[in-house]
Amino acid sequence: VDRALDLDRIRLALGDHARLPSARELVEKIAETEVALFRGLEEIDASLLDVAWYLHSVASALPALDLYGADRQRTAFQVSGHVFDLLLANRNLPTIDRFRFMFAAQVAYLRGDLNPNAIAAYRSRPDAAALVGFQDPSAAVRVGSGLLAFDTAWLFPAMQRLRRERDAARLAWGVDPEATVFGSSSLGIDGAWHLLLYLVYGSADNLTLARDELRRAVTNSPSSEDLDARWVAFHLLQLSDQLGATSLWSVLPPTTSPSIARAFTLARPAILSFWPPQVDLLRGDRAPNAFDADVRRMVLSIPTSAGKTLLAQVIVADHLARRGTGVCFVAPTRSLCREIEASLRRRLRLIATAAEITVSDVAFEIPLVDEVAIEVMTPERLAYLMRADPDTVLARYGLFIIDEAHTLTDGARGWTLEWVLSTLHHLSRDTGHRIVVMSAALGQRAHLVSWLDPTGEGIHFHSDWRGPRRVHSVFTSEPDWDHPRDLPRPRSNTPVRREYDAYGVLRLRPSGTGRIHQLRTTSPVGRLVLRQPSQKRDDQSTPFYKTLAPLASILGRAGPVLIISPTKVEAARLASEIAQLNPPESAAPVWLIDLAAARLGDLHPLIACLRRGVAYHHASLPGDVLLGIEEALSADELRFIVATTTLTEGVNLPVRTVIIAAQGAFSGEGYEEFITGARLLNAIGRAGRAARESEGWVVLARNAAFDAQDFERLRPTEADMPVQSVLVSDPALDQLASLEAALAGGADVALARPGPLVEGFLSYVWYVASLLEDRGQPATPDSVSEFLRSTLAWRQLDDQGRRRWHEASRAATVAFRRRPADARRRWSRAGTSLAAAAVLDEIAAQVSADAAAEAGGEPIAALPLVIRGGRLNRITALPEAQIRRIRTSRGGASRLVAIDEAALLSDWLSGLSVPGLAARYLHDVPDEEFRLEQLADHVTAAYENFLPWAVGIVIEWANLALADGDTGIQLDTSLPAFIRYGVDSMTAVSLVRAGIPSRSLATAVAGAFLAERHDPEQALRAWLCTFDLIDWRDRYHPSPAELRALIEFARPPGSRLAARLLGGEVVTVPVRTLAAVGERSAADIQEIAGEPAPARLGVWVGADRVAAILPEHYAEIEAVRATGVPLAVDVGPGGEGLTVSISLVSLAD
Amino acid sequence: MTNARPGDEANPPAPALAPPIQWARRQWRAARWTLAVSDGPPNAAGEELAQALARHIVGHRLRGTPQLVSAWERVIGGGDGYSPTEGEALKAFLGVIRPGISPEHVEAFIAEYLWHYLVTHDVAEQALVRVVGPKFHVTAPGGDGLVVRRGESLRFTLWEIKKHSGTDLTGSVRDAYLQLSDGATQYLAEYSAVEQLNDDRDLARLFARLVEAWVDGEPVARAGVAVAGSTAPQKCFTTMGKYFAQLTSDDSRHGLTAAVAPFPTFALRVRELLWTGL
Repeated sequence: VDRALDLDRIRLALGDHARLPSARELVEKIAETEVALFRGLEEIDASLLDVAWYLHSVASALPALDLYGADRQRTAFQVSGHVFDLLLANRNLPTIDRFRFMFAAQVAYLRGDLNPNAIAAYRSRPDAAALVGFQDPSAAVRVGSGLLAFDTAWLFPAMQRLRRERDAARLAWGVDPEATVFGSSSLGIDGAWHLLLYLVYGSADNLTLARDELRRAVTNSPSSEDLDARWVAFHLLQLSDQLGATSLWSVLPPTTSPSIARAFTLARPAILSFWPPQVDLLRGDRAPNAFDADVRRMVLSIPTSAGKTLLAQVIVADHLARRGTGVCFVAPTRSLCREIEASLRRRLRLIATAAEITVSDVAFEIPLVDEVAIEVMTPERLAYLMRADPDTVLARYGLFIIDEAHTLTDGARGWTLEWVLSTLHHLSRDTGHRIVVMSAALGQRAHLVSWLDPTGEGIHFHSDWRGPRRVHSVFTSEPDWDHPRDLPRPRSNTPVRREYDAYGVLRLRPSGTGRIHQLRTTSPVGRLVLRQPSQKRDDQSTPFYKTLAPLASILGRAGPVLIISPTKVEAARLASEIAQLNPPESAAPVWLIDLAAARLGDLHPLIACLRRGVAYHHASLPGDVLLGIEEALSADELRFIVATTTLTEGVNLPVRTVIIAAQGAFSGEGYEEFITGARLLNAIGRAGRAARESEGWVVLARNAAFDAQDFERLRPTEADMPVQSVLVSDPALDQLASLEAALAGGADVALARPGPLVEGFLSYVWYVASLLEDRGQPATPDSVSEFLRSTLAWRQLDDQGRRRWHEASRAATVAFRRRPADARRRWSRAGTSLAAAAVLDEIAAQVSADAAAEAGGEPIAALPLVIRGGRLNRITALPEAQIRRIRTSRGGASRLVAIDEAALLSDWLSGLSVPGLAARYLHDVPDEEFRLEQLADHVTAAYENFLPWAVGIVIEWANLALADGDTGIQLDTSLPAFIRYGVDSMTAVSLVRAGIPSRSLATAVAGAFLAERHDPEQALRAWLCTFDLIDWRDRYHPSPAELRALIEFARPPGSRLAARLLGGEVVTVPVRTLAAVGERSAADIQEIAGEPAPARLGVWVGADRVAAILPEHYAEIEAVRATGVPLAVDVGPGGEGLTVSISLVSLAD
Repeated sequence: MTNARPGDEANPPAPALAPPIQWARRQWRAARWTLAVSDGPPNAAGEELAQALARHIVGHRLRGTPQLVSAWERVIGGGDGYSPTEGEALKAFLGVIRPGISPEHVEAFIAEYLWHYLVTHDVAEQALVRVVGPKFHVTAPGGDGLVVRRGESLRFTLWEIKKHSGTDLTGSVRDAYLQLSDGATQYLAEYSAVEQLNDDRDLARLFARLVEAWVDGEPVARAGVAVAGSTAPQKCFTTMGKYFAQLTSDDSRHGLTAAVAPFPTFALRVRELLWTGL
């Protein structure tokens, strides 16, 4: 039961009144309204309005009047916020009432400590962009609502206009508006303005001024009849203490640079006040304190949608401003890394400290550029860097943030994260390095704490707080047993089959009364066919997933729906089913369809789904397509997404509704449930987008008869999601037993293949041994054990378990010492199993031997050498490659198709499209859809992950051998990057690495650059900036996301234009001249109307467009414009053409 | 004589002369009924009332700017016309009934101010402590007026005000009942919030509890319905108890009828007086 409908709390808030519903009745009324909304209806019980205002009034009583207790008032606010929120679902509300209800809900949510819901409620405002006049009756509530939603982009222009109009009225009337019927309105606008200025810019004077003006607005006698203005002012006044206390200026330590707070208050979305868990963690009087350098370890357990990411951003920003080291931010997937990077970039752009940020898309290189201060990376990349040189890692980064730390429990990847974290922890036990571990789903937190902070000097923070409510429901498909129909029997030996219509049944238990509300579809969603008399289910029955599609379609009316499917195949199948129910006009945005079609081919099944507004998302799709889908979903351009748990683990993509299509799937070992515990919690956690809606819906689909206990499945307890080392798991111990058996039989531990978990462990032992050797220490089993003792496993294993792993470690250490010194060092850095390293070592030796016959000088191409002699096939055949074999058909008489991997790779590098590759290499697969699907899978599995890594190792080792042999020959090291991105020039690689999401765009831009530049010294960025956005559009037809990436690429690294501007400097930059301007003139920078976003920025003097912002300045100027902060702009001659000067308008009175 | 509390700026200044209003009072089981009757213009008494009401409206709406009140008095008294700033200001503050606004709205505005005039001049009522209303944007939804009086204790009356044409009196009264009973919690919640900052702790506590007192039908809570039109009915407010059943204490339902014949002419005359010289 969500706390919002907890009977005891509602009883506390409501009290007992004959004329109002009882607490139980109220809970049921709210629940019924929720259910009605679930059905897409807007049936609001009018009596809820009385309750809402009653509770709001109880809650609003001044504490000094000693009428109600603080707990009751807080609860009354929470409940009234909820009820007002439901009332807002009525689309027929008059505008003024909508604003009043909205403002009431916002006040209630903020004072009920449910801050993000205040922003969510604001989304229901009508005519969102309207700037109203000073004498408009709705001005006060509009301003109040905008302020409580921190809508700075609207507030700055709207309030400036209101204040200008008010000042004009003062002149026109010859009297102070304060002395008139407009007094409360005038004073309220001033109070709101100064409150806004305080929240955005700090300065306690603004807060004092705001309070004084708001108080006067409430009590101003000449305007005592302007109730709305007084009412808004009253609540803003009451909230001013709370907003003051939770503002960034209060919470962040006074020693923090103001530019840090500004980065949060100005960059969109503006953060003007922290949420309760953030305040709890960051407040200055907390001991130990998050900003204290002595706090070297933090374990933060905070639910999804509770502001965890923002906390991390604050800690990062503070670290950068105060300490001279960089930040390493680790997240489990590349998608999440990109997302973290993008949101950090938006904020850190405004920070005075130079802080370039990068996201590392690949794990096999060390592009440690000096100016990069923050790198967002996967655990695999950090593991790679640690293997290569842990000292450099520690020297470079002073802060490590490990997000989604519960992935420690995820198989081989979990072990990678564990050893990386253990090693960092071990190596930094006596240094000032800080490690912050975060997750939404951490059971057994004490283990994690005792592991990383045994002395208890750090911060261990746990919160259950979250903004949006959740309504849980269970979906089943139920036959109508009362109306059986016997199917015709075409032949006498055809079995008797009885058919029943199946209806979709949704059960909700929204309230604390425990009552289950049942909704049934009005028409059948499928049929059940039973053979007689056995009652065995016949194949003609509708598969369960098909019965789920209509429900998804219905729920999509209220907002985006994420359907979690246990397998990739089922995800695609269900997506297709939902797509068939959608009308053609529900298509996904054209740019996304174009992107996916270009990448996958028109006939790929994803394309047909996208044309009906449904996407599916799983690890076999190319990264740029996944990114496009994620972007479309977060931009509200996509209603349905069917995904495997890679999405919920990987991306912070909240939606209105999450449907768990099934918790498990059949495998060779029968039905296994795996969407449970932390994985389930993470999926459920996506329901309800904080600050976008105040409620999320969760549907658990059960292909079984309903059981009331099904609701409990949606409430995993901490015991269901223990943070347990992979080495403690049964699979790991089984694999360990295999190793023990193999060793007993005399096997070479280095070449054994007992399974990925144990192989990962053995690689780690080698890594530690090699590390010790590098440091001049003996690589003995005991010295290695020092490191093992720093693992989580060692804290969780029993004595026997420790002994067994120790023995494995001992065997690996002994084997390590038996290998030649150079080989063992290489293998320890491979990042593969030792057995795979042995294979790669052999291949590298062959490659170097072949290469030695070549002429010295320029680096020679690696590709021919890598693919020669079946080497490529040996690499792709390694178990680590996990490349699925191509089959002729999905089922039936399917057979394997042999692929010429070497030719396929060559064509991939030459830029041949996926459809082209499919036609050339998979012509034995007759179904074109299946052909494209398999090729896309193949490309993703082989080229995005494993092959670049393995080829990188081969080239590196071959080059080492060539260097040792003094041949003067080296292989070109670009090949791994070329494979990864499917391009054939480093220019294209640099574009992709800089964030250009698609291979075709990178290739096109790089090709044009290499062919057209006149000066061989001209850099790509400079060349690109000789064009304009409109040229880019014409030449390359980029999607909006791609165009934004090009804009970002055009920004010179180290440019601090936005930060300087917001720090108070006047910034002058050259612009593209379109018309002559004689002398410096006041100007305006606006998007050029009619152009699709992102549109070019023009510079206007009056009605004349005289210049255009250059592409290299676009990103930063747009970042400043997006803040909504008023800017003073002038344009005039400067240098060779025109320049614009931009500065902040003084906002002081 | 009025019961306005000295120094209470929110209440309008008392006029020098009470105009010729005939008061009558009746008591039903459902409600107490106050009748106020006067001739309208061009009858002299009616003209006197129109002038008094216009003066009351100016005094109330311009109470923070006595210089503008004087300017209006000057113009209405035949003196110099308005300066440009005075004219602009008055147009803004009286704009709600500017020429061109529909007669319906003008009558609604005048009805609300007539109610305000009457409740602040009814010497038979208990001592007036606080009057809020008519609301600034008369046509906007919201409470029409709130009156707090002090007898043995503080009591408030939430008022709903309607104008009627005579034939639609019953409908107007019923609409007022419904609007008041439906909207009371919302109206009171607004009054409750904004009046809590009062320095008088008893008054502040009363305001803080307005909604609760109303919902629970406490003796401090009263409902008031006022209708203004050309005629005075023979019978009115007899069903008020049905709509406010929770208000069971003595004197907790109050009806007020104001009859100024002909009301449309009266309303337009008041507007004319207000807009003279603009």
